[in-house]
Amino acid sequence: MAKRLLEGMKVLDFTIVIAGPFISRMMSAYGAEVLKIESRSHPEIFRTFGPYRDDHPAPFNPWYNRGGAFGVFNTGKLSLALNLMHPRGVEIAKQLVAWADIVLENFAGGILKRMGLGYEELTKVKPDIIMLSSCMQGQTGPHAKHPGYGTQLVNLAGFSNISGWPDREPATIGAYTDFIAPRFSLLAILAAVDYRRRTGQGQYIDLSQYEAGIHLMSPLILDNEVNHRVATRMGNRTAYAAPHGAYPCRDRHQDRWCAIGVYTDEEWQSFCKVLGSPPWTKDARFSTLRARRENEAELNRRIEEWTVNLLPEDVVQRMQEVDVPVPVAILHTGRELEEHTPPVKRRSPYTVPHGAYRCRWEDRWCVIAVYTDEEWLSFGRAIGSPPWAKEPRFATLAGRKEHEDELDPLVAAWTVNHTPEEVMSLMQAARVAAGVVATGEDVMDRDPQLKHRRVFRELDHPEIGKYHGIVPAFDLSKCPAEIERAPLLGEHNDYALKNILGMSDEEVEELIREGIVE
Amino acid sequence: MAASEKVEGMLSPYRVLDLTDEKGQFCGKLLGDLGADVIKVEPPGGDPSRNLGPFYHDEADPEKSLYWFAFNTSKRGITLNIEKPEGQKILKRLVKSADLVVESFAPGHMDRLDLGYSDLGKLNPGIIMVSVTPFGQTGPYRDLKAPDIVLWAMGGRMYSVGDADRPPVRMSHHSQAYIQAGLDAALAAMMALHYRHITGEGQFVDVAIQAAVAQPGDSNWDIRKRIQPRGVGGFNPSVQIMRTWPCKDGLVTWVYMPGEFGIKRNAAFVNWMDSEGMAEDFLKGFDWNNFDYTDITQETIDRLEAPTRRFFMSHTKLELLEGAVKHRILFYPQFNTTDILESEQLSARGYWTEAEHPELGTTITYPGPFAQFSQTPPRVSRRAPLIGEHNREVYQDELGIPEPELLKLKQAGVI
Repeated sequence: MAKRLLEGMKVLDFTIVIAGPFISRMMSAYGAEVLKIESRSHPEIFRTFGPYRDDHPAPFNPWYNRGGAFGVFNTGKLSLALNLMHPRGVEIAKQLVAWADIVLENFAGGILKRMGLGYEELTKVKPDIIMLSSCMQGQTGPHAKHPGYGTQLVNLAGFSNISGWPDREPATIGAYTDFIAPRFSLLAILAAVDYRRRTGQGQYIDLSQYEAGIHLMSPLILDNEVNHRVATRMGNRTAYAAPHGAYPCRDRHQDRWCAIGVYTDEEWQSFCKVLGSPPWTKDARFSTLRARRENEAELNRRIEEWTVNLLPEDVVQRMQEVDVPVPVAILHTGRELEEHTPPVKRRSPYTVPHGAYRCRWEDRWCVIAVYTDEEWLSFGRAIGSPPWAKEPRFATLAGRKEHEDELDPLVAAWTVNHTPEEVMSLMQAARVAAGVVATGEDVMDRDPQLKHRRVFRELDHPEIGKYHGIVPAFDLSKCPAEIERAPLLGEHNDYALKNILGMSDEEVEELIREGIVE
Repeated sequence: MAASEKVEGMLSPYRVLDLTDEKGQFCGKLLGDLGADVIKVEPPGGDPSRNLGPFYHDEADPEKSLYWFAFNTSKRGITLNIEKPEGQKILKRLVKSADLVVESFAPGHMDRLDLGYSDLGKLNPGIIMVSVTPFGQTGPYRDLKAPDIVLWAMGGRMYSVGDADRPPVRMSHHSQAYIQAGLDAALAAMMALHYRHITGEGQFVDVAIQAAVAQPGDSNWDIRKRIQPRGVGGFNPSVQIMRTWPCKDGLVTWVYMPGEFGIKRNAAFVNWMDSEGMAEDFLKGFDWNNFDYTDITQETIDRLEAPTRRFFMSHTKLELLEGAVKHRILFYPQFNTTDILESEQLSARGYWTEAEHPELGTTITYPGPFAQFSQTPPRVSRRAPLIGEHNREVYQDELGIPEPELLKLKQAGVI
């Protein structure tokens, strides 16, 4: 077998959660040997984050081996459970530095240094070591020691402020910087490896995830500095295209519905409790059956606001778990809904709320982006040339931008009768940019392009079971990426201590006895 | 430091030919900042991304695009029409002395011009060619039209973002997808260079922007078959929890975290409020050890939130940031670009860097090194090139094309 790209490169990995482990996961995919240092007494915190297949990790299975996200970000690594709170643990870590080419860590600024594992210390063991520290705001400056997560850093780096609708609060966007910073980190490491090959010199890399992230804001930073314009969020709109946005589509699954019938006052009380007793449930307009009947339209709207975020199975579970269960049923298929229509849809004088409520999974979307006037003509033909598509006010980009508020609902009224896949293929056949707004299922299981590229690889883990690891977005023609499952905690203790450090069985046993190796 | 002063950088020995449009430009910028000699090859008249705003003083002009400025620092610039045979000949001459070619044309375009990897690899077996395309070189979607919003949506980063009652929403302004792909392209280029040092061989690298966007994957679906809906926090959808709070001059994001995770930090936050006399008894006496959203009532949440809201409202973003750092509490205010430019931490670390723009009679401040290196800091060695700014330097001084021939090429629309 041909030599793998990073074969022979040895990485001592102290990193946690995403921003660090993502770096070594990419290195492992190309053949680097990555030894992850963690411990049972202070487990890598991501081991406790889930998702777990059954939501409740069974007690006979140690929970720290079952976290799905840990499994994804630690593929192909070896695990040594080493207690760094113990001075001998630190000594062993130093011996491993002598073995390593690269050391990675992403604790809050200065923590590893205080443990005696700072760069200066490590160079005494291995003068040409390359060490990368990646923390929120860098190792120096007044905010160096502040711990944090990517979900918060996106606020400081300005990404939240440019995400969402102009008339609303910023959207919650997740840990965006956690997925950006590790790519900068690996670029830095590979450049430093090249420099060391040429000069023999190692170095220390202090990567602030804040500073790296700001590079993705660059044009907006310059706009502020030069034009004093403060960028804010603009929904899905852009100056260069209209229509440009996400439009609702028909579900590819059948619509999902549940039926709820609240007969008695006790059931109404239960029902409100299940909803978490939001203030509106205490409103006098809903306090009696009669009042609820009078305000049924608003009541139903409010209930739907709640059910629409849940699977019907969730609704049933919650309604049944309370002291006085609320009558509830899942309507599984369109046909079932049809058949249930008389008892469910018909308003009952005795039962309010009473009806079928839309649940999650009918929420399907497609994006469309029309840039040029030619594309606009193609778009019109693709949707069957309705009269509005020929209106002069929409004929030019400037016109479409001016009338965007009227245009978007017209587009949506067409898309809503099609599945997102239909919209995408109709539009793309007409050379208009469009794509499915992919759910987790679309990305992981359905997208034929991502399948073709084998971005997600099935792995078998003794405790997680079957799951998918992820390879980088690039294919090197001569160096395929290969990944293996994530390690169990301490799975490679013997390998690390005996094979790498040459310890005897007795020495290893002693370390275990003393709680240094766990 | 003068804009064009030469310093031994991390990647000094390498030459990069950058034929990308906005889809891959960040790759060349990164390699250039790391010290590589990056030559931006633009079609005559300039790269289309020069027409992307925002513009310097809002003057729409291909020499004043701030988008172009941002992602083309540390590059020299030449114009070359590679659609013409003479242009292809010149590019091939340049390839002989190059290490990397980065391009972002549609799949197959470079092959049709006889400039594909199979052609360039024959001229220079060590050449590494990195192609950045929306979906990759092969596969069922390779020819689809895909601006940022399509790639963002199809990479799975849009569906769960936004409010429950509105469509999924992308990140506003310029393409984030393209920048991520440019970053991956730079990474892949360094990997391929590493391989070349081991084997002496170049290779072809196929970067897919959709796959770059999809890197987080979705283990919630993979493991639990759950789709994350929009606008729901994940703890307990039947109660309303504040996440984004108004403060004196903006917004701040804070959630009382349940479980092990929250015990220390929630208490630390309440202590901070208390030290300013703003924590009420209910909050002070609250038992964080058994705090869990699954069985909480809205009333309890409301009682936790009322004093919290008053506390945030009585402070500015900066006061809250400094307090969060001091008390080691995990939250940040929502910064905009002004806040970022004025950040004390960034200036304390000497983050910002300047580049002279003599033709504009000004100096512009840019985001500085993406990381601090003890030996070889990356730096903006020059501002983005003007259209054809280094034609003479590259064609005449380096390739030795004589003046009259250059003139002919210019008249023929090649350069």
